[in-house]
Amino acid sequence: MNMVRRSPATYMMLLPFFVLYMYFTFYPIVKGFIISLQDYQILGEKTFVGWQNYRQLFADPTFWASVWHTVLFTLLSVPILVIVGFLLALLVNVPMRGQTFFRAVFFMPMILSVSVVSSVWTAILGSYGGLVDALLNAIGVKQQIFWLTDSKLAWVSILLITTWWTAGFNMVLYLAGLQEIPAEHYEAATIDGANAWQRLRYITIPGLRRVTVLVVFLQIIASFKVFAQVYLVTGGGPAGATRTLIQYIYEHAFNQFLFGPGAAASYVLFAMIFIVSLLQLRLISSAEQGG
Amino acid sequence: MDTWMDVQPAAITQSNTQRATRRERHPIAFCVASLLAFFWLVPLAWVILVSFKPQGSNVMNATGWVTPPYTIENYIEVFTKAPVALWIWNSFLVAVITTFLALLLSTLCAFPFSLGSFFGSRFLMFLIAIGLMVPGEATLIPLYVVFRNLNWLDSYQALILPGIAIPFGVLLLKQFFDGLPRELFEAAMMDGCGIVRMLFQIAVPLSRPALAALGIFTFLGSWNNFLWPFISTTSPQIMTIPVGIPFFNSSYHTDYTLPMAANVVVSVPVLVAFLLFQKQIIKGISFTGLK
Amino acid sequence: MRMKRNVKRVKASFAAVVTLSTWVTGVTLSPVLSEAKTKAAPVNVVFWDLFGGADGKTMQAIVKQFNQTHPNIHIQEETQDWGQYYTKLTTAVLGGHAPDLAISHADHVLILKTQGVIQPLDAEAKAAGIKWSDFFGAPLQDSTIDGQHYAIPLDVHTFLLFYNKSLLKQAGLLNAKGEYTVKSYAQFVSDLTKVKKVAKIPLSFPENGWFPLALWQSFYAQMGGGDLVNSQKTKAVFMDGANKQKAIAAMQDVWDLYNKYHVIPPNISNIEQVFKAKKAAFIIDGTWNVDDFHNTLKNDLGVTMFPVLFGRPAAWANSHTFILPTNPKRTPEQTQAALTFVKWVEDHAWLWAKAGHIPANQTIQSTAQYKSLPFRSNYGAQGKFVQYFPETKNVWLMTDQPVLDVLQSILLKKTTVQNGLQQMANLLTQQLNQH
Repeated sequence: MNMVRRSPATYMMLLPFFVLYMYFTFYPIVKGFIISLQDYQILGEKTFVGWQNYRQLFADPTFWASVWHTVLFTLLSVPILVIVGFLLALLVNVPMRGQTFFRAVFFMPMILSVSVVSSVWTAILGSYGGLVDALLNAIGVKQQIFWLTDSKLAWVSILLITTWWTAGFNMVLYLAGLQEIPAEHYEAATIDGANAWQRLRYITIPGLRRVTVLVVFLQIIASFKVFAQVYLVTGGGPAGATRTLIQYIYEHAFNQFLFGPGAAASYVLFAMIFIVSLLQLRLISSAEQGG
Repeated sequence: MDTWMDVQPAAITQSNTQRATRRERHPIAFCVASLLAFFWLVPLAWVILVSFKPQGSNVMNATGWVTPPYTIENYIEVFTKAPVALWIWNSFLVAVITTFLALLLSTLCAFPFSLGSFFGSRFLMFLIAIGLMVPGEATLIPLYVVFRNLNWLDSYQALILPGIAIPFGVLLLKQFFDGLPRELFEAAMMDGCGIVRMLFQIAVPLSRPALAALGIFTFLGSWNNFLWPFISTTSPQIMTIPVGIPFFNSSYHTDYTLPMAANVVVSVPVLVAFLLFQKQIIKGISFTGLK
Repeated sequence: MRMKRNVKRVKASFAAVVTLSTWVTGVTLSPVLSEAKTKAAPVNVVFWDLFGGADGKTMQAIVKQFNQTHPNIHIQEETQDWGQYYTKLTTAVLGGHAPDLAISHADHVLILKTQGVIQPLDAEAKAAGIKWSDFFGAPLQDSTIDGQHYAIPLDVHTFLLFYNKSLLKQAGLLNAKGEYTVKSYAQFVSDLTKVKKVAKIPLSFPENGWFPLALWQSFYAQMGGGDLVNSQKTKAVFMDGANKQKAIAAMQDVWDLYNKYHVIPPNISNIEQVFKAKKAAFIIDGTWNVDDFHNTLKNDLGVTMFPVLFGRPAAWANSHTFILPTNPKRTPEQTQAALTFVKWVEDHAWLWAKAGHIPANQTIQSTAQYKSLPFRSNYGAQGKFVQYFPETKNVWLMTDQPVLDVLQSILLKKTTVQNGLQQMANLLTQQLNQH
């Protein structure tokens, strides 16, 4: 019994979505590839140049640096954000006074605009007079710490900012996962004499397996796409030490209006995320079979 | 599944649900949570303090923050110098329209896929799946070209249209529709009910949690969207908060006070909305984590 | 009959939509709009600039005064973010929302012309009574391409040396008149070292962005270095022939300020803020800060010319210029109104000089209004030895991130002075030949 097989209504229902989808998502994917093979002057000639943009890209050390920074940020931020989210979820799952308040506090930064978050933290971490600097001064630390302009500390700061901003999101996903673990499992374990650590190790963590896979992959994709907070806080500095792949694309395409090389770099980003997504689908389906 | 306000304790630290909710107060967890919450809130408290300091006053020393004078001058200036109210309104308008259309179009599109296979259904699903793996960031350049050819750069259309037809929405809703009992639809069909009526009278009312989840996702995504509006908007009248704030702040980079006041102004409406709807927001996010 | 009613209904709903949308946009635009509505439809001119700093207030005041004195014209000023300015300008022209009038840096005019974003304005300028001979040579040269004028210079803005008088007095560095003068690099370094006792930051200066490039270029020119790029704009030549040794020596002297004498502390991201907060004794910064610093520091502020530390006087400079972006929708009336505004600003350029800039219109220098401005006598002469960044078809050094990144990595000791300079030259040459 299939009522959608030949019904014109079916196609009418699909139409609005597909019109927008094809025009603003699918066509750009194809168009982007074509641009990446062209010397594309937006107000002038568009000439086919084959793989030249890609060759030029792969010969550019700045490009590889920005790819590496993006990978580095992903490698660092994913464990931190997942673990902090998990620990926060455990913490605010404990029944205590102000529980609702704490949950709200940890999640709240997530709803602030990235520009507000960046502006606030730039002022907080600025050297020679930011919040942290002034506090350290007040307690007698006279040495300047360059949170945003030292090439290592800049990454620490970006991780800190990103954690403050988005860890609450992962917390909420974990919190939901925690509610799904039946209370009886804990009761049974306690009767068997399991201590808190053992209950965490053998009940909670395995029980959150599916949520963890989801959180990890959402986080990987989000981390690969990092741009705004880095761009707004460090501008990619010092000396390009925090330039991410999207910033590289942005600078080429929209500061210098070099659309061809920019589109080529976009395709590299696309390829990276495509591979991660395929892995994700694999792992999610195996997690579903397994758990 | 009521994860947020009504605590269903199943945490690792307790063995007995009843005892936990009634008597255990977990002073250690409370202290840790309080300390963390303090760190989470300090940046915001500082921003508010600084936003009330007179321009040119010494905000670079810790003592400067907590001692008068305070003034509301900055707030008056923010409103007179920049169309902040308009930016808030634009953000709101764009997010609401995007969310509404995304929900409508995804629902219409997902339902036929859930009812069964039809001519082209596998191919169309494949097209959607491809879109799922392409981040919007990778198609910025072609999207820019598309909107330039439409003569729609720097317009509401540019802010709204690319965010509507999101593959994630269709897949999420299809998955949810798949879980609804088939008998409902079969019975409706016997009564001669058309597919559109079936969708809106049977499926949609049963799918409120999924729709709410998708709605919250779309809204937050649109509200925080930075890169595309950053590239495509040039008039202050069209800007949204994420673009307007750096635009405003870059003009007043020689002082902290005005930018911080601007940050507060644009954050207050969304914070109020969050406090009012936090239960629904958290539920919505939890939902996607579990389904 | 029926159709007519429908038409009416459509009209009514259309009117409702229009009213609604004007109400929506009018809520916050009302200050702008109400001004425009009072008189019988003045010609509206959308004017873009990038005056985000202290000079932004000055331009706002100028626009306001112009609008008040010209009831038939309304200049609608829109200030764009400095860092995104040319991205936005190009996007606006591409998207058909180009402003009617805009500001461009003098050394960016050729890029805009190459991109097709601006058009020549000889006829318009002539009609408005602009006299090209009134202007300083340097900005005029950048504005002229193949004999056609694409821009009308507004100002010359350059680096100055600002100092905090009370801090310098404590360090005993002021002369009998209560002013600071410096004659040589050695003296400058020794003075900066002395001032360490009283100020946490002897010289406030960044190591990122274009500031260090401008400092190096000034030193390089003072040492007698030649043009940075060749005349065909196809090759960076500062590491060629006789230039090389001067380029290296100039960079070494810049480097030493950071890393040998430690008189520029590392990583100051907010150079103006620390100077205004009295944490810095000196700051080398642009003319656009004169007004703002003066308002904050009052009598503590000292201003002098960019120090000439080597043989030849030279100081980095640039100019803001007026341009007419390519805009098919601009009516002849709007063009005329725009040029009326330009002419008026040029004739009243002492108003703009208030912000600290030197008017590009040389005749202003002799006006009583200009002479009465504070500090101008200290640095007015600097207009004679300004040094511009090279104007090219596709590279604007002020935001050329790859080159600036290499420069920063020299200062951060990630590469040597010589290797870094060579890398900068190679990168620049490569960029000049892109396309």
